[in-house]
Amino acid sequence: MLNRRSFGMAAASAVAISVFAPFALVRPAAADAAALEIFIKGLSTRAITDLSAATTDKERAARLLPILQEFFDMPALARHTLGAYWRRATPEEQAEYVEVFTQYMSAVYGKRFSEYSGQTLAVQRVREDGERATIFTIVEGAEGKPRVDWDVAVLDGKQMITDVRVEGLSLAETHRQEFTSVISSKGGKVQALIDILKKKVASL
Amino acid sequence: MSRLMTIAKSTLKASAIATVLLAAGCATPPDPSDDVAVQAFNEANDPLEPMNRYFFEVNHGLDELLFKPFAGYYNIALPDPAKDSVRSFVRNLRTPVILFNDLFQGEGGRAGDTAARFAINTTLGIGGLFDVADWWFGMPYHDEDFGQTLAVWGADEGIYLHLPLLGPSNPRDASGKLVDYVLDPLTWVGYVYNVSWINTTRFAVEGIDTRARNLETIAELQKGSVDFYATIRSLYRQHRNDAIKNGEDPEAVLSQLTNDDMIPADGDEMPIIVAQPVPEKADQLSEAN
Repeated sequence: MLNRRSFGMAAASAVAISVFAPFALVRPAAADAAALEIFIKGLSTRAITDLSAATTDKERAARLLPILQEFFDMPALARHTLGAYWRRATPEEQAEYVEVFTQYMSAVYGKRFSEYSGQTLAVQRVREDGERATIFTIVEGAEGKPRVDWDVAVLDGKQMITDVRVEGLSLAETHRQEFTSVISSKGGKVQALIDILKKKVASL
Repeated sequence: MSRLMTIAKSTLKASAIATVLLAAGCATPPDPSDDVAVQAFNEANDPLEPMNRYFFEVNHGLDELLFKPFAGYYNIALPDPAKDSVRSFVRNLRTPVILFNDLFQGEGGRAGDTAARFAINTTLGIGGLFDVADWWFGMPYHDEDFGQTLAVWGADEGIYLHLPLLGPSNPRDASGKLVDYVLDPLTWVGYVYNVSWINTTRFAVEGIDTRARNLETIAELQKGSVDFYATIRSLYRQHRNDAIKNGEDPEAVLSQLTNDDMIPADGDEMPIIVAQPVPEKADQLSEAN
């Protein structure tokens, strides 16, 4: 019984390997330091060119939104920030939350670009770990040259950012603690957080 | 004798107030059958949340009234190089505490840096006013405190505390502060020569300088936040963990994140054990899933 099963497994994996091996060669892997460096530089150039032309906070938010969707795994980030409450949310709430969360991120972080004055990202090193990687950068031109680490995962052959840490402070983790605290204080209702975030987005 | 009585009385009074605050300040734990709420409650590790939130509000009020305006004036009054000198000076005064803690943590290299920085900045840097050790010798400032030493020795942070005036803390870091105070030669200089205003002034200057440097960051953070108290709680913990690791060891940070990442793939069981679920609640749970 066991033997047959393991034989089946071996056969299946042999088939899988022979079928998928060619694709593995074509697909861009996360494990490519140069590609990751180009990826993060691309993000920085794109954000600086698109956002420095904006004059109002609303405009900055509107311009940051498509950048977030292109470079960040927003659904995964949104899911992470709800913690265990994600599973409590209905599919409708989940979909609405991902949308509101993306708007919230654009509004909050778009604003910060109003203080932009020529700082640049300098890649220090890249750590690769299969499908995941971390790009370690510092911000040149900012006081104390803060460390910024970017966690990247490969999704459908495309690099996507899953978390950003500034001086060890994680974006995903901080918002998760903030949001779960709000939900807990509202009797565990995810919809309450969605409504609060909507109001916040409107006020920013 | 009467003096002893007064001390005893005021101690009693203080402990009575503390007891009342503690009793009023305890958070109500969530329904044990609500596993998600229990998980959120445990993760916050903040059983004194109501009391902490109270002191958070008090500190926030003081900040709005006093520290923030003062930090604003400080920013306007002093040009950047002057502010840098103020910071270098108070940092240089902290050398003994940093050096002790470097040594306690077995960080020989960093202890050497701290000692060399003190020698260079006190002489060439004119009493610590200029951080020439960083500019010319490539030895940047680093901080250490006994809270971090305790963590390196394996002490747990304990529950979250938001202390009056001092802000975010925990039992480990609060007792660390006390030890640092005792370790600091300036504390004893203050006592012995009856010049404890030195330490009060230093504390105030450190506070104002730090606040002035973070005026915009904190304002932005607060504007964007939907629960500023929880944001600060999270940032404090992450900042301390980063400081304990001296900003290094990103591997550990990464693995910690993935462990915390408690989103199971769809259809997986929740990685939590529910303590004797009430039947009705259990039904609701499976519906929700």
